[in-house]
Amino acid sequence: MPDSLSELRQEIAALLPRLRRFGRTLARSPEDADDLVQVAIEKALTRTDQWASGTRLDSWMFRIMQNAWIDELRARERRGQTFLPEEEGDNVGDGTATGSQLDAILVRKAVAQLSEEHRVVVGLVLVEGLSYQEAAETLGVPVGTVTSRVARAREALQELLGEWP
Amino acid sequence: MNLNEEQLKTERQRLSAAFDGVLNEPVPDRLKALLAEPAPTPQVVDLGAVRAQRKAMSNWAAWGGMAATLVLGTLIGTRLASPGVDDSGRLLASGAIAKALEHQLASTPAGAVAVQISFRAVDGRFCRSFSTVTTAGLACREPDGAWALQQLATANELKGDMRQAASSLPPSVLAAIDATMDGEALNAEQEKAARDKGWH
Repeated sequence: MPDSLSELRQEIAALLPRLRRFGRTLARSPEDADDLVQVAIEKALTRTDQWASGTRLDSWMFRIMQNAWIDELRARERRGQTFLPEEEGDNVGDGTATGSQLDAILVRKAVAQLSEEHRVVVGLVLVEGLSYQEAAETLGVPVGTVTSRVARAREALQELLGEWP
Repeated sequence: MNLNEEQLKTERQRLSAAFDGVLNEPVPDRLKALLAEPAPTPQVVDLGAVRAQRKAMSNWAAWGGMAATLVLGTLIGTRLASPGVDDSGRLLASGAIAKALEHQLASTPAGAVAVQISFRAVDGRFCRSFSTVTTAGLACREPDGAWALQQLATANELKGDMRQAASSLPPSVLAAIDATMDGEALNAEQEKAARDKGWH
């Protein structure tokens, strides 16, 4: 448990790979995802006093990211700005991409098609492995809401991807 | 485990496989620097400001994102194993795109799929680029008659005027064409002859 700003920074640094992964479930492009991580870190460092020592640091960071993402969506709506594109098509390839790589791309693209509220629960629960309770606390919604969102998100993914192999 | 739990486990694994790649990527310096010692003075900015720090976007900007319904509906065939991917790990065109690749001439566009360019690849296969409003790619015809996708790009769901014309190709597909083409593209006559012979 970090008890100084320095330790907190180190702990957040250790979470960077997961924060980036969570960012990619929220944002549709890797650039947006990393921008989101950057904004969340900057916000977190200005309000370290709000982090309750002894609670999960990852959940706290996920919550900051989620809130920053919602702020961003609203700001873009006001600006009439479109989203940065996802550039994964670039990586599909030279004919050497394997079936599993292509499947990964298809799954990410299907997740990108989900609504905002479905993507966030997919990210928190199915990718990051938070419990429904932890995801509910992170999002500040009742557990039942998380449960039903996960169920609907899974249905939507099944519809987009067909039968899971 | 009951069936639902098994299903959930499978889904988690498939999602993990889709998103875990980033865990092994090097973390960008700009993120590490934020947490380095001594810490820089944090400046809270929005994503727009962060983005402005980076270089301007390329032409690729209009491409990306996903038209899942189209790609999943047309590229993903009814093959077993994994969607759209056959036993050899090839992603194959199917549906309207496969049909257009097999039969449609570049000079006579029809339907939702446009075929722009046909050529022989360095390995001897015939390859063709195609696009729809939301998807573009390069496919080459395999000896077994399947059209294997060499490159696939998808356009975001863009509003009206941002939408790419179906005839334009994203840079990634153009690059794939450059890398694959042997000599010159087929002219209309050669293209028709190749099609009539079943692309052999």
